Amino acid sequence: MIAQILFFSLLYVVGLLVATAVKGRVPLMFIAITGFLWGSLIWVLLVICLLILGVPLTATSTGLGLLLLTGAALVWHIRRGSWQHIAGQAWRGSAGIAGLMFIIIVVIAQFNNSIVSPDSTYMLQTASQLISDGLADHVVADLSSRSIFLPAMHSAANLFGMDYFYSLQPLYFSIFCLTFVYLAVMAMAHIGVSRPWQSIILLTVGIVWFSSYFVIYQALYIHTNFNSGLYLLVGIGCFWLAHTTTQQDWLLLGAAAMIGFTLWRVEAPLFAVLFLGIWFAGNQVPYRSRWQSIMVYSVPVFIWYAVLWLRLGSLETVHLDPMRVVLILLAIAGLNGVVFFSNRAWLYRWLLRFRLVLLVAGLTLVLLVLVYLKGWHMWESFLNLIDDMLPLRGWWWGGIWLFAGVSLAYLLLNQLLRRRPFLPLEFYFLTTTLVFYQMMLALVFLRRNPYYVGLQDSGNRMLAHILPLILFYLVLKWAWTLKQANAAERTTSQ
Amino acid sequence: MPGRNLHWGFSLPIIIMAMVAVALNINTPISFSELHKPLPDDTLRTLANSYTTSRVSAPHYFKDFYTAQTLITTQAALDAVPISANTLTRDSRLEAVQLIPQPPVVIAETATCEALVAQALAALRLRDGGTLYFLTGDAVDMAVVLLPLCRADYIVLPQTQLESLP
Repeated sequence: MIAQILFFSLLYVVGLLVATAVKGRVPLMFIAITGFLWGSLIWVLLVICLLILGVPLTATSTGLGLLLLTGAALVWHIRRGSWQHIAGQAWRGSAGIAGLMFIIIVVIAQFNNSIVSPDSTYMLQTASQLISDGLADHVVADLSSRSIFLPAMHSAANLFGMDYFYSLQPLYFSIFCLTFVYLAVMAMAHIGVSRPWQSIILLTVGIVWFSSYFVIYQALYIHTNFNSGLYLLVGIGCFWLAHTTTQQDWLLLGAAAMIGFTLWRVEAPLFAVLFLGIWFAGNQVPYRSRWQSIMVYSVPVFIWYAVLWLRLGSLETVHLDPMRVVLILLAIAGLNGVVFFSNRAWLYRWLLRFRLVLLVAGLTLVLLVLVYLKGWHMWESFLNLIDDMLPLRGWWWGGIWLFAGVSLAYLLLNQLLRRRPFLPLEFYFLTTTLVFYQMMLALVFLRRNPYYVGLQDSGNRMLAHILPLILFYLVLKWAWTLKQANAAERTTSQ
Repeated sequence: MPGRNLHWGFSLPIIIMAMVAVALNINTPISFSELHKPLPDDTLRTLANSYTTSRVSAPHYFKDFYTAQTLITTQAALDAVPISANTLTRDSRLEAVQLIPQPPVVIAETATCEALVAQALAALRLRDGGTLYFLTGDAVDMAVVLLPLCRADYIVLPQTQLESLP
């Protein structure tokens, strides 16, 4: 228990130090809430570096690595004099949040209510194998099936003589709740909704969230899906704020969050590339910021997948084979190419400004071909996904999807009927969501069996990636609609 | 305050929808209290200790436990522990359990087999008042993880799986 508390606190501090060094004008409070996310991402990247260099993962090697990073961040802070900059901000509130984070870390370490499935145990096995075998062939094969983030995090438990960190998942869940509230409040304040209404909106979404069985299940379930969704929410939330507040420093953190999203799941790079294409290939934010952020995302991800490609060879794998890894590498390279040339006026005029429509239309076409090739398989998967989401055959999500779907439909209908303006970058949100579902369906083509109705179906679990983002969009849309209603009433009364 | 009534009027359908969702959320066949049962610290210790150095094939790994544990068929497990209708509704595929023929049980389709194992095991764990595990995955893989994962007194396997053991 003490080991967990110490390790998580250490990662939190490292995350705070590094993130405050790169945060720019991003509020300190946000860094204080998400410090552990950056700390755990840094840990995973450190593990990847050591594995690639062939350095055994020991307490000494990883401790030295963390020490070096912390030292570098401290030097950066001292040279930049950033303490004075931080002191000028509302640091008391952030210090309070940091204190709360430590309390959360200590409290949740008292209980082990973990839920595990075979997938969990495989990943925990891989975690221990990372320590004992490094990047041996069987470890590479496992990592190509279930990705590296979760094994890398739990590998530290082995260094402390534990099998796994039972409070890791509750910690991510706690951070999710705080992050969601913070991002939502930031965005609603930017839209201009009053404090009481911010509270009402969050309270309404909150009671639905916390009463859903499968949501609470995610707080205890040792797996990748919910955490992947957490990083995705942070990524897209940061992108939205970067686009709408003109503070491009959000972009960098968003891109870093997308690395986290990508490293949680093997199929995630494909989703990430498309999402980044949606948000980065436009011209709303300066070219330089876009280009920097996309490089921050691409370099570590590209290196990791290149290493996988070099090592996979003829290994017997479940999900990734060399050809699929090449496709992922090409997709990342293609994304970089698109963003690199996105400042060309002709390219934007003739292609990139239609990218949302082209993307959805292209994926629809692909899906039609896949349906033609495997009709029953695809149709069954689609129907089962619907069943998973609704409390008809599947009960695990409860009414949360129904709530999100009906509420969004109501808000959209209201907007269309009253001819009110759209939420800023609303089509980005809509396209991100639509593309997610399209990709999910496209991926099932590669599976032996269709998605099925069940708690543990990977399709059902993957819904946890997008649910936080949909709820975030709902919050923004609701707030935006109220604001528009206010504006319309003022215009009428004048 | 301008717009306050307008806001309430406009937001009411969403708030009502939220209440409906909460009602649906709470109406689950399984109690939330299932999630509060603590997992012993060493639940996965056996697994971690015995699986550190090399990847081994499932049957070989299973053999290590073969003599130490009691193996029973799915049917025997189901006979031993009546499964309540409540647990059967958890997954529509589990309705297949009701159609189990007399032993030997021959299960051709992986998903059904998986459901059988999970269902029978869940019933055993429920009887013992232990934590309920939701299990998935390929049937042979199930055998690999079941013993160390649950430290079960019984491992439930379809007859065909038993016969294929070394």
